[in-house]
Amino acid sequence: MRCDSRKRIPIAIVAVGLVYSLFCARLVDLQVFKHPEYAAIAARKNSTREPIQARRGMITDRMGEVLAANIPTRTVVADGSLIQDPEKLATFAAALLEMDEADLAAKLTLPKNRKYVVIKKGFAEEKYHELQRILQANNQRGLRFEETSARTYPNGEMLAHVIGFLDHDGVGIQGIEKTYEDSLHGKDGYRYIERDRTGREIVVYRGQEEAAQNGATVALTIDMAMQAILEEEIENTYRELKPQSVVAILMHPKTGEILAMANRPSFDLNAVNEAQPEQMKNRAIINIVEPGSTFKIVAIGGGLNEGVVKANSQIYCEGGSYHYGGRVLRDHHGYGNLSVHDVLMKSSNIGSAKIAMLLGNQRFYEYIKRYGFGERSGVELPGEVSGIVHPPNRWSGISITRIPMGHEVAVTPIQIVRAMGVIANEGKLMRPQIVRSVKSASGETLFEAHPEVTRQVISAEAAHEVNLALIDVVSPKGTASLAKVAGFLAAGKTGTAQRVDPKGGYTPGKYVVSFCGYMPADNPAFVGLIMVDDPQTSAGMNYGGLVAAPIFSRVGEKVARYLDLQPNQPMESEIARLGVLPESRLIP
Amino acid sequence: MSNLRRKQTTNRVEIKPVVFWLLAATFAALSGLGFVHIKNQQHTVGDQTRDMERQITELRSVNQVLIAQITKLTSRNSLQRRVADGFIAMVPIRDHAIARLNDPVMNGENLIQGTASAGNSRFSP
Repeated sequence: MRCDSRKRIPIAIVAVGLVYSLFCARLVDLQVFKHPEYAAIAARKNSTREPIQARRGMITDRMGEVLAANIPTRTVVADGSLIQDPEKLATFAAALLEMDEADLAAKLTLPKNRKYVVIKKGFAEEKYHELQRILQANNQRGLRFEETSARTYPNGEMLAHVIGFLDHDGVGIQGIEKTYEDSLHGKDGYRYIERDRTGREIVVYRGQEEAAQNGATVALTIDMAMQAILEEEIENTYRELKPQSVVAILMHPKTGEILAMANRPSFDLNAVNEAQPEQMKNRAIINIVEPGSTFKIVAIGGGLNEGVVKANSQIYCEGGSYHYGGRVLRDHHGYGNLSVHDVLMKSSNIGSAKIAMLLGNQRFYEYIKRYGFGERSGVELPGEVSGIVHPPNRWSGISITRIPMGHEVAVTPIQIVRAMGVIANEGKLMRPQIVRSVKSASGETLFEAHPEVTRQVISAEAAHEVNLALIDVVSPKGTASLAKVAGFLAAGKTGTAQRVDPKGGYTPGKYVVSFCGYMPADNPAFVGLIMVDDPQTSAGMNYGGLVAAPIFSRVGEKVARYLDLQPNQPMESEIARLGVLPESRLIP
Repeated sequence: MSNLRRKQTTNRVEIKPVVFWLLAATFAALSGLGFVHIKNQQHTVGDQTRDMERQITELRSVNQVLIAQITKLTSRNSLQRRVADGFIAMVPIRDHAIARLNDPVMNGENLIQGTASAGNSRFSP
């Protein structure tokens, strides 16, 4: 027995030791070798990655007026692991979520492992507070409300084509919202969190976290006061003349800053779903049209710059009918000899053609390109097209007589404004800019625009000569006397071109009429284009000088008041009283 | 002899280790309780943090809603509509209320006054 008892103790010790060793081994296995596996299972069960939405940056005009802002909303998310009774939950939530109760109940009937099912986006903040109160009072769980925001555009239709809009996922798909998507969106953050069985976050178990970086504020070069002036005028035009479209642009000629850009038809940015595709086109950058006579500044500017003609050189205008290449080129009125200055002032097609012929095909083509036609202007808006300018080897025998008067080329409205800016800016072609600055949420300047000279197209002297002729275009002697602005020296050129038929050729009786000018001509504050596509007027009225020029005049007068420009020209009454045109009238 | 042997087999109670183990056990127990207490405190503070964060978030949201509403109500579009509706009106500044540095410029055709700062003494009578 003594022997047995002496043996039993070590046996018991060994047995207990073995059992404990087994437990220890299992413990080491669980805690060390299988730790990653079980940690992952635990994380999957309890931990979730909670996104922290970055707030989208605002868009403002150059004065800081808000053009695009955010309204906080909630995304309603269902967590299947917390929902006890989908029907009951739907009963409480359906009304505020504005959903059918049965549909909601069906959506809320989820397996326990479905923890993230989006029920509704853009749920209003006020309703969220009310719904949360109801759910808490009735001890209902399973719905989470994630912070998010909806875009709002306080000005509705105004500047709609430039600002652009977002898709359903909050990504910019038009206008500045698209171009500056990366800057505006910011960077979403995240946080790994664990929840208890009631769905409440256990704060002490918060895991890795990265704060959201809110989007930057994009300030445009647009001046909303000038934009409002332009919008009002083209809205009236669109209503009264019922054209296919109206496009208007104001640009600062010395900096290339776009001050206003308006289109009709237009649409409400807060109701994009109701807009038709035709309403959403920013025609200022995507419409290609034959520019008509505004294009004459290319040949005449080029001719003066190359020295093939001088301002007072006489061009024989064939009495208004010029046979060339088997076709007849006509002027509206028959002219004999005209100076180069008068060719532009009277808008002689024959005179312009002869100056282009003096330049020659290749040199004339180079000037077309130098003025910025046939290339994208580089404005920070999506979808800009380059227009159509064929090289001389694709020209027909009469192209050299047709292109100088703005036929056989297709250009965008912004290209016309930019080219007119060459004359207003001593021969320099500027890159149009629509974004003035980009500032981070903390106020740090990320980008600031500076004027960019693309190239010197013609000399300052040549530009000055063209400028003098364009001033006279707006005089009673010229084709756009209705564009005059009382008290100011305005300059510009009309354009009237037959509407191009998409099937080929021209549409009879339909015209695209325009006026592109600048003022004050001696120190331009803006260069502007008014382009009206197919206005419903009587046949004799369908000219740029009769339709578009008066609009420019009204815009010019209002803009002058807004900019507080000092009038330096006599009013009609002053001229009548003095009986002569003061000398200063002719000195820009 | 037997008494002597009994005395020899009696174990003396060692106070020192007893006190040591008692203290150790008490320390361990207090440490455990302290740990639990701190852990509970941590959770309570965590809950307070979460509630505070929620309140801040809600305040920020309310602020954002208000900013959006102010932006909308003071937008150019809204103001223009209110002017058109007559809800607000532009009151012309009477001539006697304007202090002029230069003579006023009048448009001869419609007698519209030029810009306030605009002076054109060259053409004044």
